[in-house]
This record gives sequence, C-alpha cells and structure tokens, in this order.
Amino acid sequence: MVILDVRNISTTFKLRGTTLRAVNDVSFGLQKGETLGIVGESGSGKTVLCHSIMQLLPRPPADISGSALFGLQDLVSCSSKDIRNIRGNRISMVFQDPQAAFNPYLRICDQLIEPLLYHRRLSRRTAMDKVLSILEETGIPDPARRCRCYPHEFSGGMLQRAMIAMALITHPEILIADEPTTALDVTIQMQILQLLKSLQRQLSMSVIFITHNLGIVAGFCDRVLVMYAGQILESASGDDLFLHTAHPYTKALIRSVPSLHVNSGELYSIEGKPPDLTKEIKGCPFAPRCTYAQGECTEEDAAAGLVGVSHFTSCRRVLKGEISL
Amino acid sequence: MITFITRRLFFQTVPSLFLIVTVAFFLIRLAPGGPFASEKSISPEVLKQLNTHYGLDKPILVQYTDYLKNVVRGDLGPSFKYPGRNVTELIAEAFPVSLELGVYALLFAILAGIGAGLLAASKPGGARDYLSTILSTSGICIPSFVLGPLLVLLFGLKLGLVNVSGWSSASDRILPSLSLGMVYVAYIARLTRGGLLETMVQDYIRTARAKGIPESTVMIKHALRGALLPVVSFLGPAAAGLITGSFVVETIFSIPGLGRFFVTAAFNRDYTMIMGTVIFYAIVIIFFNTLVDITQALLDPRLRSKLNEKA
Amino acid sequence: MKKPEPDNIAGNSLWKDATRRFTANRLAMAGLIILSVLVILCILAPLVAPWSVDVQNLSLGASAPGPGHLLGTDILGRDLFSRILYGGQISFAVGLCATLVSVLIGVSWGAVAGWAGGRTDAVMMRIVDMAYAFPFTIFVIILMVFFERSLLLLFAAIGAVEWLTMARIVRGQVMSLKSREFIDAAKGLGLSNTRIIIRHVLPNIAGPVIVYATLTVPAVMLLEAFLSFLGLGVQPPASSWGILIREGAEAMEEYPWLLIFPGTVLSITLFSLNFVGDGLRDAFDPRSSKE
Repeated sequence: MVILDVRNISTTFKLRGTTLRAVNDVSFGLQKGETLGIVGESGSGKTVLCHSIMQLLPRPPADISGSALFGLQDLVSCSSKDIRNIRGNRISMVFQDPQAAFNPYLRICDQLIEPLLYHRRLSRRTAMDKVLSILEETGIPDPARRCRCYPHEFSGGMLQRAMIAMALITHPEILIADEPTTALDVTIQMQILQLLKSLQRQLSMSVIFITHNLGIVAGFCDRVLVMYAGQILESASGDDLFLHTAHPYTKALIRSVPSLHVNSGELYSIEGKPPDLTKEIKGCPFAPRCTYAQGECTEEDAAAGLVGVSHFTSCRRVLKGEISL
Repeated sequence: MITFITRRLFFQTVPSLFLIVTVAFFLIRLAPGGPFASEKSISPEVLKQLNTHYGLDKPILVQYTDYLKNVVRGDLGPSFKYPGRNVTELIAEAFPVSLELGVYALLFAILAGIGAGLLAASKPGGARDYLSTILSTSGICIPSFVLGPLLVLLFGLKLGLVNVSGWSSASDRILPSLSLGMVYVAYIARLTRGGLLETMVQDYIRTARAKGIPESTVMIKHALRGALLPVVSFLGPAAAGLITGSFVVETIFSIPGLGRFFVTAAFNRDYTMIMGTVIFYAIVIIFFNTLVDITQALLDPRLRSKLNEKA
Repeated sequence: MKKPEPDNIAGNSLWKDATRRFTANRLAMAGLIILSVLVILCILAPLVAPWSVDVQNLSLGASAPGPGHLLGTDILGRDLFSRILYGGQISFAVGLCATLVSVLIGVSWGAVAGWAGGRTDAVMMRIVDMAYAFPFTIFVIILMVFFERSLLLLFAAIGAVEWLTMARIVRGQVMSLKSREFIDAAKGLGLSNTRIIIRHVLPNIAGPVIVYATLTVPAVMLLEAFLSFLGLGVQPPASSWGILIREGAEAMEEYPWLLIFPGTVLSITLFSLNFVGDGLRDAFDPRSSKE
C-alpha cells in the first residue's frame, strides 16, 4: 500500500539571475513498511528532494512544483499549519551531522521532549517518561543521567542515537534519514543501521534512507532510487539493482565501491564531473561521462521505461536492448 | 566556578583597579593649582593651613602611598567641599539613586532592543526590518542630552504629564530612564538582529522546524539563546556608557545621583570626592564585568565545560 | 587595443568595486550628500551666514523663526542659523582633529601589537580589553577640569578615548598580513621591520582604517558635544553645537526652537556620518555586513 505518492517534483532555485534546477521531474511511491534508499553523489538532488517534500526550503528562492500525497494531503502545497502538524509527528527526519543538528544550548531531554509537547499535548512528566524509554530503546545507557546532558557531551554515535530517538518518539509513519551514518565511524555505522532496522520492524514504519554510499544500501534497503543531476536514472529492488543493473551510472557506482576482496590495484572512480545544473540539460544527464553513450543519448529527450517488474530505468540504450550491463 | 572567580580576582581585578586608581591620582595631583586654587577669597596663610591640614604639602609619592593605605582600609577621606562629611558617606547616599536609574535604563534597553532585533530578524530585508533599524539607529544618533530635554519639553512642559525634574515620584523615573537607555536600544537591537540572522541558518534550526515546532517558538526558544551571547558581551561596555550617560542625564533632570556628584566634584576640584568616585566606579565596572562573564558561561554550556576544565 | 597594465589591475578593481557598492547604497549616498551640504555650509559660514555671531540684537531678544532670522534668535538676539553654522565649524574641526589623534594612536598601537605578536601582543590587547569596559570619559572630564582648557587639549583628550576599536581592527589586519607571502619576500630582500610596516603593511590596511575613522568621527563629535554640554568642552566665546544645545536646554521652556534646531542638526549629522561609515564598511567588505 502506497503511503507517500510523489509525483513530478521539480525544485528550482533562483539565485542572482540564474536558475538552478536541483530536482527535475521526480516521481516515486513509498510503500508501507518499506525501506526506500535514495542514492546519489552530492549535488544529485536527493537531499533537496526530501526537503522539498517537507517544505523545509524557503520559498523564494526555492520554487517547487509537483505533489507529494500523504494520505489525502499534498505535502508540497498544504498550509504551513498543516505541514507543521505532520512534521515530527507523522513524518520525522534524522540529519547527517548530529552535533550540528542539535541545539548546543539546550539539554538533550529538553529537545527530545518537544515533539511530544507539541503534537501529543502530554504533561511534562508523562513526556519525560517516554523520553527515557525511547532513549533506552535506542541503546543509550543510563538514560536518566544522560538526557540531562548537553549535545557536546555526547560522542558522535551516541548523539546520532539520540537524534533517532527524537525522531521516533512520536512513532511516525515515515522516517526520512538523510545520510545518518556519513559523519560516523565505520564501526558505529553498522550499529546505527542495525538499530534503524530493528526499530523500523518494531514500529512498522516506512523509511526513506538517503546516502551516497551504495555499500550500505545493499543489505539495508528494499528498494533503491538512483539519482543524478536531479533526475532518477534507475529504480529497482535492492537485489535487482545489483544483480540486474539497468543503467550505466549505477554500474559505475557499483564499481566504485571499494571492495576488500578484489585485488584490483587502482580504485575506480567515474571520470568527469556532474553537469552544471544552471544550464538546460538535453537528453540523458549522465551521457557526457558514460562509456556507453552514443549520439542519440544527448540528442533526444530522456527515455523512461521498465526492464522488469518495478524495475525502472532511464537509459535509452538499455531499454532498446542495445547494451547489457 | 569558585576557582575561576578567585583567579580572575587576582589576575585581572586587582591590577585593573590599581592601574585606574594610580592614573586618576596622578592625573589630578599633577594638575596646576590645588583644590583651593580657585577660591579667590582665601589669604595665602589660610591656604597654607588648609593644604597642611589635608596633607597636600607633602611630597607627591608620600601622598600617594598614604592614600592607598587609606583606601585599603576603606577610608576614602573627607570631602574638600562639604566640610565635615565623608566621601564614603556621600557616595553611599548618592549611589543607590544612580543604581536605580541605571537598572531601569538597562532593562528598558534590553527589552526594547531584543524586541526590536527579533522583529527585524523575523523578516530580514522587509519593512519591519527597515523600520526597526531606522528607529534603533535614532537611538545612537540622538544623544541623551538632546533626547532628554526634548522629552521633557514634550511630556513635561507641553503635555504636563510628568515632572520636569527631581526624583521623588514614581513617574519621575520614566523620562530619565528612557533618555539614558535609548542609545543602548540601538546597539542591542543591532546585535540581536545580527545574532539571530546568524543563528537562524544553523542546522539545529532546521531540525527544530522538522519537528513541527511553531515558528515563533523556533525563534524564541531555539534561535534567541545563541543570538544573545553577543548582547551579553556588550553589556560590559554598556555599563561604562551608562555611567558616562548618567553625568548628563542626572544633570538635566536634577537627579541626586553619583553622576551629578562627580560632575560637581570635578568643577569644585574636590580631590577626595573625585578619587573616591573613580575608585567606586572602577569597582562597580569590574564587578559588573565579572557578572557578565559568569552569565555568558551560564548561557553557553560549551563555555561552562571549558571553564571547568581550566579551573 | 592597449594591453592592461598588470600592476594596476588588482589595485584598481578593489577601489572600483568598493565605489560601485557604495554608490549603490542609497542610505549611504543620502548620508554623503547631506553631510557634504552641511560641511560646505559650515566651512563657508563667513560667506553664507546672514549675520555675524557677534551681532546682538538685545531689543529683539529671543524670537521664533521669522523674517531675517531663518531659525530664530537666542536670548541675546543673535541669529541662531548663523550660530549653528559657525558652531558647526568648531564641531567638525574637533571631529576631524580628534579622529586624527585617535587614528594615530589606534593604528600605532594595533600595528605594534599585531606585528610583535606573542607576549607583547597579549599584554597590549589585554589593556585594550580592560579599557573597553572602563568609562574613559571620566579621565577626560578630570583632564578638562584640571588642566587649562584649550582646544588642543580637547582634541587630544577626546582622541585618546576613541582609539580602542581602531587598535583592534588594525591589529587583526596586521596579523593576517604578517603571514602573507609578500611580507616574506620583503624580509628576504633584507628590508627592516619598520620599513616593511610602513611601506607594505600600512597601505594594505588603508581600507579598514578609512572605514573606522569615518565611524569614529560621529563618536568623537558626540563626545565633544557631551563635554561642551557639561561646560567642559569648547569654551565661550567660541561656540559649538554642544554649547548651543546646552543653552537651548536651559531656555527650552519658553524658547523651544533654541533646543530643537541645534539638536536636530547634530542628530542629522550623526545619522549621515553613521550611514556613510556603514556604507563604506559594506563597500569594502560586504561579508562583514550583518546582512
């Protein structure tokens, strides 16, 4: 069952005379209980996409078109009052750098308690109990003492757990996690991912997981969207993405993930740079860097089609069967 | 925290005090003529007697050390112009008045300034911002000795709402406090606005919004705290300015405060009174600055940790 | 087509950019225009003022604005407009000279502290920190009371109060310049420290110095007016805006214009100076603006 139906989201920024297209006609659906990964390099538009859906971008200079249906409401165009009721309540977010994302001047408990006070109208005492129990669930030892500490007194991993606790305290239906493990040590990363997975099962929550790291996506996401230059180039189930890759960009990304097994000598990285988003892009945005590109890739409009069940690709050549990856 | 205060006392407070007292002492004593030089009706013999009585004929270094000894004992000496009265007494009478005036002026400045800054930062570049900036700049550009009389003219004389001078009734407090505090409204508004603009783009503000918190709460509960730190730092120099401002405001409104005493003492060349006031002001300033530092530490938990580490 | 001269390009574009930003700033331009008008009027007072300040029309007494007297007259029948113009000469003169004093002290102090670094810098800047919190005006008052009240003393005393911010700014600039390569190059050429400071460092701090000097002028003029108001600044028969305001405050019950006009002129001048100063600051370094 689709609980979030995103249709044709385009986000542009007007800066000093130029227009930057950060997100270009993106559509996807999020199923209940599903973990959806959105993968892409920095600048691919994955973060802007989610901020657009949650109305976290100041408009102007941002201009957002399209819709994101959550139940009966369109998150993109609903009133600020309505979106505030949803934020932190039915849809929560976790951000990348926990030290920057927490208010350094307030205690952790004061910040964790806020969603409960505003969305549930609980008394302070009841709310505090809930804070303590969620801190425990997210694996923070000695929650009663810890929650009276300030953010700078926590380690990175611990603070990220606290942020997850803060996001889940209202048992939201959707959790948007924007690169939650990027700022953490590798060992801690795994712990956080496992924590998210178990909590998701517990709360039957849907998760949108944004990352630039394909390695993480493999064991963690049910479905994956691959974004580049503001567009979705491929979308598939986790398995299909790796076993039946249907876009040269995805293939290149998979190759660039360093592996401990293969003695490949040099690390692979994709040649070239992402395109300038202030300029109009004709055809496939990845074409200039694609080893399989041909004339038609940039001359004709972007393609779109299915290569399998729920497996979408925008590669014209794959769709035509001209290449196999 | 205690260690922090004690160390401050020894390494900053006492040396500063010492420096100020020394500079003031030599500045005054080195001036041509003595405290009685301007009295034309005194004969040279009486003059000599007075000088001896007050110890003014001793070598200057002796005078200096004698004075320091007395100050440490808390004796600021007799007033030259009010025979029979002690400087300490006079200060004790006059200071509470100035303190009251200063507190009202500061409270006004802080409340109005933060309010104006909040208003301006809520929609930067908009009409509210512009208006708020112009109004608060007026505070800086219309000096207290122009604003004061103008306010008196309007509210005291033309509208007859308040007394023109004096410090007896409650309404007497209003105009002087406004005149004195107006300048600081401007500075505090600017600092608050600047601080808010900086804070509002921080990540943790985005987190607060993502939690669905109303915008006004975001600004006041989350953004303001960080934004206020520069305002608190400013309070140190602001206190100095309030003291200076009191000279003029107390003169205009005939308020029996320490500021007016100081100006009168200066004109009367009342050595001991001047020195006593300077020392007293120095102590007040230093005390106030320590308070400011402590407040800063209280506001920013990260500073607190650093201080605790150092101590 | 002539080839552009490489030496001048960097220098030109900095000033050109700054000028362009400044002229685009409406408040700053308005301030500049008003300021220029006032300054020119005051300088040309002997030509522009309808009456000489010595002329007393006792029979007229204090009168409201009317024919012959644009802004009215004071108690001794002297034309207020003329008095304001002549008073402005003194006020601006003090403003300029005291600012010069303060710039000299501030730049020297800051340059020495910034260049020396280490302990010397720490001590010097600690003194500045302490001084910030202390009302220097007390010392100025003491000075003006006890020593002979001359204009020169006034310049020096006022200048000695307002040098602190300049010192801080200059020190900051010098410190950041100190570590730049062209200084190393100069040292490599065997130039003495003093020479390096004068020839290479100082020209590069001209920008901020000009900005803060401009912002110091209103502070200094305010202080002069303050002292004159208390009777400690400019002495009669000379007059400044501070003295006019004091006289106006004393007589305001019956003759409010004697207070309002000088007060307004002083305020407008301070406004304009502040806007120009802010405009200069934004022009030279838009990042430093609070926007």
